[in-house]
Amino acid sequence: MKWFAWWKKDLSEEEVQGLEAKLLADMVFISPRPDFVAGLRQSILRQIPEEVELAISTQKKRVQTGLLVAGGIFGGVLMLVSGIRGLVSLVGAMTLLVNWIRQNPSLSTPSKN
Amino acid sequence: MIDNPASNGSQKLLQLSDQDVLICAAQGDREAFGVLYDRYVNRIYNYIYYRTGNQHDAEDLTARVFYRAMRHIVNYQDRGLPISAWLYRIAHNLVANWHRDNSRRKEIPLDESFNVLRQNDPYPEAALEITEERDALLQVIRSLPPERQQLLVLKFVEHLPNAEIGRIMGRTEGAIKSLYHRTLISLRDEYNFDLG
Repeated sequence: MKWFAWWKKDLSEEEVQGLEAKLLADMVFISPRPDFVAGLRQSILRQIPEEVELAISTQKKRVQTGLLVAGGIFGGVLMLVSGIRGLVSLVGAMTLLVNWIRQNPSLSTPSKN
Repeated sequence: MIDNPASNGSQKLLQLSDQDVLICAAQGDREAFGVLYDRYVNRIYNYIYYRTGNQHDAEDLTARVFYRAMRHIVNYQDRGLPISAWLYRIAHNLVANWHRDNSRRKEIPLDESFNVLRQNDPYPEAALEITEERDALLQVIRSLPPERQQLLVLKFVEHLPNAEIGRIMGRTEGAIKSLYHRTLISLRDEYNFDLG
């Protein structure tokens, strides 16, 4: 109802009918030249198999590239996680070793004999 | 692998829906793409003609629309929209690029714009009388924003209902109605249509 009220305010029914009649009368369908239509059809259909094969091969290449990239990212993440875990393990082992040496002063103090 | 609905013969293609024909065309079936071409070439040409006002550019852009459709038909994704929406979208983008590229170029005189109409009309004298009025209308329509031009062509030349226009333009039916009446108001106010 709101839209209807806005329409009535800005455009009368007579104006709508007049505009529509004019547009209907003057906007005719313009057909293309028959020789253009036939020529373009022939040209397009001649190229169809090559173009479709090209499009399919392009699509396959995209899929392969996508799989390679995804695999690379996954492998990289795995290596990164493994590296971090290895580093954490190394730091933990070093900490344990240092603590063990500290708990055994005889190992870190040179013998006077 | 999708079954080819037209494997029993090319005559059946004519009876298939656009979606089924599209499946065949995407598999490299020449005749299937030919059927789609036959169904839409006139409409696409007509749309582009009204957007450019020039027969030669309309033919050039129509050819580009179908070449582009042919190259991308494998990647077409069915989103529930009619194929016409896809083709009109391609045409819309190409016309927008054409307008952008030719924005500094002098426009073709309107006298040349309806030559085809004149040549094809069996009553040239009567056609001549209405030509000026039609040329003026074409000029007015081409001055409107692209979406309004598209709406007018789809509504008054192709006589599509608002719901179908909405699907093609990616809008709701209500939005199309609203746009339509804003367009009529623009025609009345800005271009001072003589309704007599």
